Amino acid sequence: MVTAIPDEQIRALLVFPNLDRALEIRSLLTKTDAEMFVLYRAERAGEAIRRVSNDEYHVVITDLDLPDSSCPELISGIRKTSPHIPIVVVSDREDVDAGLKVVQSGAQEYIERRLLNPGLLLRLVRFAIERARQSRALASISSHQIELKDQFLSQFSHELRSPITAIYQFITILMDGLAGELTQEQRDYLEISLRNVNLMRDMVRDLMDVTRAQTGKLTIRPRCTSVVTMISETIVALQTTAKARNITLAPVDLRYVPPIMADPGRIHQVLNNLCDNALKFCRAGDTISLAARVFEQDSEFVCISVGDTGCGISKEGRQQVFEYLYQDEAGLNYNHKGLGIGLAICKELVTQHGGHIWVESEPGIGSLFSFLLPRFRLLDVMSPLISIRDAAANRTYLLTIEVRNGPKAAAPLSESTRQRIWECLERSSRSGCEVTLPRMSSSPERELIFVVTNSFEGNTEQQVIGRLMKDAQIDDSLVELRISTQSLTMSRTNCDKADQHVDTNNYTDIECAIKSLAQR
Amino acid sequence: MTMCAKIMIVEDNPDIRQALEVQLRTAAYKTVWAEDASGAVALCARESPDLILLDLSLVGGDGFMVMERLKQLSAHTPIIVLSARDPDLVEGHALQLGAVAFIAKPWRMEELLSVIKEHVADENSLLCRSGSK
Repeated sequence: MVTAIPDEQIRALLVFPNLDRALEIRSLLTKTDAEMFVLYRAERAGEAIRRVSNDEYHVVITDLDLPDSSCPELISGIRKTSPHIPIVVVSDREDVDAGLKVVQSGAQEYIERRLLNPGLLLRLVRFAIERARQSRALASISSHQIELKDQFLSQFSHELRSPITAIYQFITILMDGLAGELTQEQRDYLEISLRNVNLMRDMVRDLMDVTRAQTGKLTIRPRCTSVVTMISETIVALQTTAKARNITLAPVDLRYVPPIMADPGRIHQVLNNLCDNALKFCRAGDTISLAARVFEQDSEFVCISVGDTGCGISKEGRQQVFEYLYQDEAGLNYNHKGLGIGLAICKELVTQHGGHIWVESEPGIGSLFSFLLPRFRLLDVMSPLISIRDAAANRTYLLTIEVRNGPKAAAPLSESTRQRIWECLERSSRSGCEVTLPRMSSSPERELIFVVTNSFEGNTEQQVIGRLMKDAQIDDSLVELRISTQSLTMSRTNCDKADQHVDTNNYTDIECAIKSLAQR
Repeated sequence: MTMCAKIMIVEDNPDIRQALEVQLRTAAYKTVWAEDASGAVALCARESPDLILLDLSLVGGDGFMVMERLKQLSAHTPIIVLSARDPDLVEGHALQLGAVAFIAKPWRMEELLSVIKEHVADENSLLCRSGSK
């Protein structure tokens, strides 16, 4: 490794299988100043790579022809541990191509042996060392600048969020009528403001994500996620913009789409960016369709797609469309510029989920962006925490309810279990009367109903659960497992349908109960 | 309209603070506010709020430090963190320190009110029934 330019002696490693050649180089180097160099010799490439990684040398002077590997392989091996050490290659042959090849591999100098003389070799070595020093300094400056840029972008996007927050909150305060009634015209203008402030918010988020992606800090938190919900929410969020431009934005083919293992916020972002991109390339009368289905070629994945009847993307554009800062000419013609990072972020996010994204497009006809995400498998993520009684059944259902009874309630589920489950509904209640649940019966996506309850004042657990199930239209036959956190010292008659009674004095965590069920 | 639970806002940006006050007043919450770390601790001791909305970027002290001091002062008062910082970097830490929820700025009013209701609902309804506080 080289850490500094030598002031006095230069430690040089000579890589020459032939002793005479090595002595010849030593003679040339020491002719002008016998004290300038401390010389070491390696006979083979492997030995040279080892020595460079273990000891400090200022320069490596090597023969082009080595017994155990090619010279480019030697250079590449040295570069792995010492990216900046200067390497001078000496050749017995007149071979320009070989010279070019070693320089391309990272050698600083290539010279034919017959041309060497003491002055020339000394200059080559000193210049190579100096160039390597400059290259290190440049790399260090560049790395510092990248760090500064990242810090700036991160601080900048954070600072932008405060004014965006204030603008957003007051627009919504006005639109919610908290400051008085609005005329239709005022409402229309506020909607335009809201659309634009949302655009700013998304751009700031994308900017932050670029920084994160480039520094490897872009994170995702996958959990069981409904594709249908994601698509519906994306459509609702963008419908006003689409309608204002007379573009149809609609879902298609969502009859049965299983849940995916994905970060819902991030998938929203992907869908939002793809739809936003489609809107840029569409004109009045065009259509944007969002679809999802189990991927035909691999049923472990769900394929989600955003298609449009816009202007399409050229062949060259299709190859570059997921690259940072790429702007398609067609988009520029439509006068809808962006930062050129939205699709690149989509690719980063989909890839992080273990998926894949691609585009099919025909200029003048439209584009179809598709991406694959892994299916959610309850058994995969809950195992070995719980064992499902009928693993072969395709339709098991999941719902977790913890009805607390004041501070004595059982400890809540940990974040890790919460993330594994489909939906975690927690309610605080003394009597159980105030608790409500959304309707669950119409969803084909829930896999297991898992009820965790406690005792209530004035109502039996069964009464409360019965009402909740009725309100939420949950079919009792679909309940696979029940756990009651009622103390064993209390009567069990109120919760006699439970499969497992958990004494909260003995169990500090519901997860213990789940584990005990798994062990039965 | 009867004022119910008391919510303490800790936020150094006066515009965002005002937006919060407007939204919380609409939902019949009483509000008090502090704009810095020391003010937050003193106000919490004086007012005994039912819930705290805490920004993480404060003048005079890091929001996490403030949260720890507030927790020492009043361990059972729920704290909701409301922040413009990168959730990936701070949400986990906030929840670990005892926040009941993390909401990213800008927020949707319905979401904020729903989270608040989850944590002050019981007391709020009792107080409303008794008509005092």
